[in-house]
Amino acid sequence: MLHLFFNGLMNALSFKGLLYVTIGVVWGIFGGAMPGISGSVAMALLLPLTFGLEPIYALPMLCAVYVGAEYGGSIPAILIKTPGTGANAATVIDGYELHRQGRGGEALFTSLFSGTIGGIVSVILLVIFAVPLASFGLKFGPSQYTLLGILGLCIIGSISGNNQLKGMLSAVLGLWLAVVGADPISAEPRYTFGYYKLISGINLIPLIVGMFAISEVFRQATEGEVGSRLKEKVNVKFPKLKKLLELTPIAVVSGVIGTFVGALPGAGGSIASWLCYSQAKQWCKNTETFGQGDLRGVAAPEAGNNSVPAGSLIPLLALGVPGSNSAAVLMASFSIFGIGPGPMLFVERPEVPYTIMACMLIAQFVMFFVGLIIIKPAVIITSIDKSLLCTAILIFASIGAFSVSNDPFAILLAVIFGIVGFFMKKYDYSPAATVLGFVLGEIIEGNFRRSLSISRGSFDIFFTGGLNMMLMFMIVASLLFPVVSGRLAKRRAAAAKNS
Amino acid sequence: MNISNNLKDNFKNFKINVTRIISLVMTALGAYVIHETYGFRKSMFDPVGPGVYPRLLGWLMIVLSILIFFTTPNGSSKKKKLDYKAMVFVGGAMLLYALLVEPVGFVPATFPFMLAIPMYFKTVEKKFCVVYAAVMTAILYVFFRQFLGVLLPKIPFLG
Repeated sequence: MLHLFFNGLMNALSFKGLLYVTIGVVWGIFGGAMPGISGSVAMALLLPLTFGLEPIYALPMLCAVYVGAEYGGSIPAILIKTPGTGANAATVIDGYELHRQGRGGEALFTSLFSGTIGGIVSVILLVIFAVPLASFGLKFGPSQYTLLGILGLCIIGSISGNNQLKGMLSAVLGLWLAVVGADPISAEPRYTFGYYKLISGINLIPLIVGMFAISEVFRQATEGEVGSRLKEKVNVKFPKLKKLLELTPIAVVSGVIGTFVGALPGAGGSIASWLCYSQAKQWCKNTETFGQGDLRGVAAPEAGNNSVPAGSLIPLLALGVPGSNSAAVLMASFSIFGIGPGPMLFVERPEVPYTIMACMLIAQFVMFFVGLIIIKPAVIITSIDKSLLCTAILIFASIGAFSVSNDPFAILLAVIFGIVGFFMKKYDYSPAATVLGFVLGEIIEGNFRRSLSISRGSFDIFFTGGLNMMLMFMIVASLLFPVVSGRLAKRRAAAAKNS
Repeated sequence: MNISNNLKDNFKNFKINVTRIISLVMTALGAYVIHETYGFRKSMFDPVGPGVYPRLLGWLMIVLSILIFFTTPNGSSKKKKLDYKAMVFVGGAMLLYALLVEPVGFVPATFPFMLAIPMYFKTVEKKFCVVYAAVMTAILYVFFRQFLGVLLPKIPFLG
């Protein structure tokens, strides 16, 4: 394994490897700094650019976008109280307060520093766990993959927004959208409304850019934000060495938490960052300063969300199941190159996953140094007139959607999904759950039908065996956890009120 | 989510709100999904058939929608006033762009699109809008078409 990793490192440290990783990180930082453009959208917009590249450069470049975006989102979170991505929401609490106190530069450096540490920790865990999990994944059959996909949807449905039922319904909508098109076995057209362009199904890229990027532009346009402009000036400032040493263990622990959260199909940066923030509040000393401009309140969530990219690669590379929407875009790029992620990838083409792991490690260091240099230009992003920014986002989204199939119909689909995504957010449904449902839909249906073929139509196959029972238990637990924790929280609040 | 208390409150002062309308629409969608599955033809090589899975999804949609219908609190939450005209303009511009980009070419379709959006919001001077639209269109064309080799629609008869 080590020699394969070192071979991957040689690919990553080559001129082309470094060049494409740097491009990916820079694009990711700028993309993440634009509110509404998450890691998955930034990756989707860059995807057409990778068509002419070799997969050992294209795939790591996309991973680098993911890494850069998770950090880039902290810039508007700290400066203008608007997280660039959902994963940076927890950073706003202490980050913006620090900026108000004139310490925005320290906050930005802390975000970069702790994010880098969290990312390095997560890559180490990725290298340690991916291979054993891939070996374990070889024991997975169709019924296990079906249940694993359902588990991912239950997790995201449970944690999306304020309403678990709406989250679940959003996920089911995504599962249905994945059915549209010709049946993969019988070629029977399903839900195509007789329109030939839907025979090949709906492509992931128009769905992602529509649900996230275009819907966000619609939101800003309808709420009058498009006409606004904010001017922020900031210089990066280094906290004292003693402070950095104090922040390091927080970043390491948050990196571990974030990696495992990222590995759960359906969970993502948002969960990781809030979990790390709350954990830091619990075990750090003198936490009364949290929420009032404490650098630890920036270090913990940023290390957590920056460790999610590598964490989400664990199930993708080892099992072929994406751990997040961004991992889903990566999975789409795998299929464009004719590579199938999953346990057999480590057997048939081991140079691919190990190069990706090595590039993820290099990307953390590139992000640190590039982040120091381009913080000022990235800050400018937050002060550009939003009508110009939104226009650029729309045109990138259109080109991205168009170039996947060279068909303007994809732009039309993206606009329709943009409208759907706008109203979903407005009425507390979850576009993220829909997109993940869409991505997992093919995996779930394919394995579901295979399972029923094996069992000759009996659903007992999903309840047979220790592994299936464990997955069933996790599914039930993920559905009940929000209900139980909600009731416990209400009881605690009532008890506190009475006392 | 406390279902039993919500149900009691909701039955007392039952009101139709947007969330309930959405759940009715989703229930109808679920019914449509199930209905269509009975028309899917099975292949002799596929014992399960193409209809089983979407039928399950349809039932899930119906059950979840009904649960949302009955557990949604009565009344509507106060939302801020939204400028839907802006959304219609932006959406309409994108649809027009999608219709025109292939027949007229990337550059002639992209320039007016990039001009129209900032001019509609009137936050930037008109001269700057024109320069921005021209420069960005040129940069995008050169970057995607010439540098990266992404196929973009050409101007008819000109290339």
